[in-house]
Amino acid sequence: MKVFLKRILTFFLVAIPGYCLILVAWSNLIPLEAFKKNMNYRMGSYGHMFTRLQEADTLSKVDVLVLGSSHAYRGFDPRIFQNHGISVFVLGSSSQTPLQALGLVQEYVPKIQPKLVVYEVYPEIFQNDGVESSLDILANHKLSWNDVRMAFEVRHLKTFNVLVNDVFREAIGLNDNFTEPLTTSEDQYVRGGYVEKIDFKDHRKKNFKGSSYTLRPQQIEAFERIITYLKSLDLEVILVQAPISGDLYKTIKNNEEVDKLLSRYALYYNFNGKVNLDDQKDFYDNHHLTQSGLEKFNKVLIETLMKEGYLK
Amino acid sequence: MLFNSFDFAVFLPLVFLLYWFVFQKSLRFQNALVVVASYVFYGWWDWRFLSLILFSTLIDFFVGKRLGVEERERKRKVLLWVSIIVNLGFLGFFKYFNFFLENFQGAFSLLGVEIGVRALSIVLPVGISFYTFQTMSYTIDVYKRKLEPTRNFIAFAAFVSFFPQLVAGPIERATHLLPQFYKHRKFNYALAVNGCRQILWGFFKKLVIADNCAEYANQIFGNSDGASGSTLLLGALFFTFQIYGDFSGYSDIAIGTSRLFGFDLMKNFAFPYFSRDIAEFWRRWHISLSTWFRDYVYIPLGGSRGSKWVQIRNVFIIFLVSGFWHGANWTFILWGALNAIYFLPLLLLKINRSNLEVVAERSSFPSAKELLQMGITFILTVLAWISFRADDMTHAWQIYAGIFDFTLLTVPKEVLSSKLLMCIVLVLFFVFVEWLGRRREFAIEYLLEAYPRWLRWSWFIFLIFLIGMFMQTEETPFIYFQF
Repeated sequence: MKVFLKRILTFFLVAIPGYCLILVAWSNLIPLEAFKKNMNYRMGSYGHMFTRLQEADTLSKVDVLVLGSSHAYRGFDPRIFQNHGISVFVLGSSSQTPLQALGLVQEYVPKIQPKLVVYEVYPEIFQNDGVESSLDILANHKLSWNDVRMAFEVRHLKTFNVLVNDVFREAIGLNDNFTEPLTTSEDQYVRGGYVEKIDFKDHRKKNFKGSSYTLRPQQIEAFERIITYLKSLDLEVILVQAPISGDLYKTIKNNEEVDKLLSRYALYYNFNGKVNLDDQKDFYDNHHLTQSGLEKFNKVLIETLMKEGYLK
Repeated sequence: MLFNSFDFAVFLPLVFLLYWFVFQKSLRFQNALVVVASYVFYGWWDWRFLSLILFSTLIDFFVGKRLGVEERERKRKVLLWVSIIVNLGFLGFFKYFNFFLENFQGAFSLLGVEIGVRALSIVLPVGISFYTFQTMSYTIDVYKRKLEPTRNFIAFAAFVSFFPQLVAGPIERATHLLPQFYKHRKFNYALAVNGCRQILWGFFKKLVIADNCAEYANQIFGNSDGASGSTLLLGALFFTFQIYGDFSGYSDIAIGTSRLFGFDLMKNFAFPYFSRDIAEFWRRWHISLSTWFRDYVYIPLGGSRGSKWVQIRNVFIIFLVSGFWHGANWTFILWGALNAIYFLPLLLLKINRSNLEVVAERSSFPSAKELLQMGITFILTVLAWISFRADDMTHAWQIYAGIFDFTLLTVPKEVLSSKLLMCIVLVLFFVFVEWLGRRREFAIEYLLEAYPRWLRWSWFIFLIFLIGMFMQTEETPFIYFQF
């Protein structure tokens, strides 16, 4: 029995580095993406996270830091804020859940030193396991202990695989010369972390089934940690739910319950129904604003924050 | 609890350590631990259904005990029927109640009579068909005086609920498994190592082959309307490998896990897709169920003795019952009927036992004749799997009609992608390894055994890598859980 346990233990001690070795060799030598099913290592992927983080590294001070998912980087246009003399940086990333935001906040808030933090809290994001966003951040962010901690919190095979590959690539400098184009066929990166949709197909769905948000306790816990951390730095935190299309919003059964929950953590604004938006013109899918929709939303947001004295 | 879950990854080492380090001196305690662990394993899914297992266990334990002392034949028969009615009663209610109700309603409505009884919302307890048949084998064997009734309730409860094979087999015979609970078990290094290899291969089959094939099988079967014949055939092929990888993968994990605890479970699969005729296929596919039906249904009916008509009747009964065992749907009955039709000519021509040894036993490659035989048998099997996978008879018919169409000779454009290529490469790799290991209990049992340890370990690590790179990351239940 003891021999068996010893042998099993030895096998695992050999298997772990062995696995990592084959993984990085396979991931970096096999050209076909389909043959790398659980290795979603994509630098400069959807959402311009690579460029955003590069810009974040060069920033010194901004007035407002925006956190959140694609609703953040597609819903807050720094140019509009700049017209009011307010500097904004959006640190959102695709499907960014609190599990990922926590590491980013701890790394960038001390650097950027914002006066106000606006956290876009699309409740759908709190339902996610955070895998998609963790892959995006690992591939596009310079490896840090926060990334390792995040990978262990997400606890997903794809995240571990990407982490191993990232360690290897960064160790031998494979990522050093990477550059991301600022414009793609659909998107344009705008300084300040915003991504403008310049061309899109209509992705709107109709006939939604009624549904309710079921927020993951793990995400709520990470969210609480972010709020506690920000408050410990004496920062003003405002939670904002950017508008989604009216068609979708009205089919969600527990909006009030979610509003109630979120308003426990900080000052909270739900802009659904507060901005005069047209579902046809102001959304390119059911929950992302077009530029025209964004302009209307940002105008109302800035007015609200100024009225409440958070922006001057 | 699913084998392919994080919970099981914690549960198994914990039970293993308790079993061999804390309770190794007492057989009773080891058996009690097996019972507790098995009930936890099952209760993880839904603890309410534990009462069914417990009730079946109690009934069969007491019926067995009474059968041991009762000499009067009439009374013995009554006792046997009590056990059969209780066990099949549960199975019938949970699995077949709505099927019969809906079919009666359908039949009566054809006569213009409407029956107003509504179908019940019944949750099918996982693995009910498996443990029901396992516990029934005990009372039948005791009744037939093939087995002494047990007085050891804990051992019997452990036999009925043994967690590695509780929910999807192999369906063990009391004569084989129960005595293993009476004997003091010593840790066997070779058996445990063998078990680990079998578990690894089982996981590869399930997580890499079955789950990847399932993606395409589900996509094609779910959008069969208007799909080309070649696409539909591809869907059937993917399902063929999905069901094999899924079910034989489960069996491998179950058998391997049992070996870690010093138990020897019966073989459930023996490389069925290398069969040269359907009779051989049925000696190699779901062996524990096929032999159960053979021993407890087919042979009591007269088997292959008697007139031609009796033989034909028996073959149809056995295959139709086998189909119906899988689920309350006409598609399973059609699947059984197709297999009966395939099997019958072999029986009538008395060539059903002509391929008893392993294909290409003494060579690396099959002969042209063997290749042709394997190809034909495989295609027949694929065609039968279509009805097994179809949602209903209309769906099955739609797929059969779609395949036997001139579009069979076109390129399956609907699903053509590099991901499809990846899936095909994985299946080919799998078939290659299975071919190499076809003379063994499971494909990788002694693969590279003659080579140095570092090479064997590299091979195992490569398999682990393939699992890590190609597995589906969502927990997917095994197909046979629904049966």
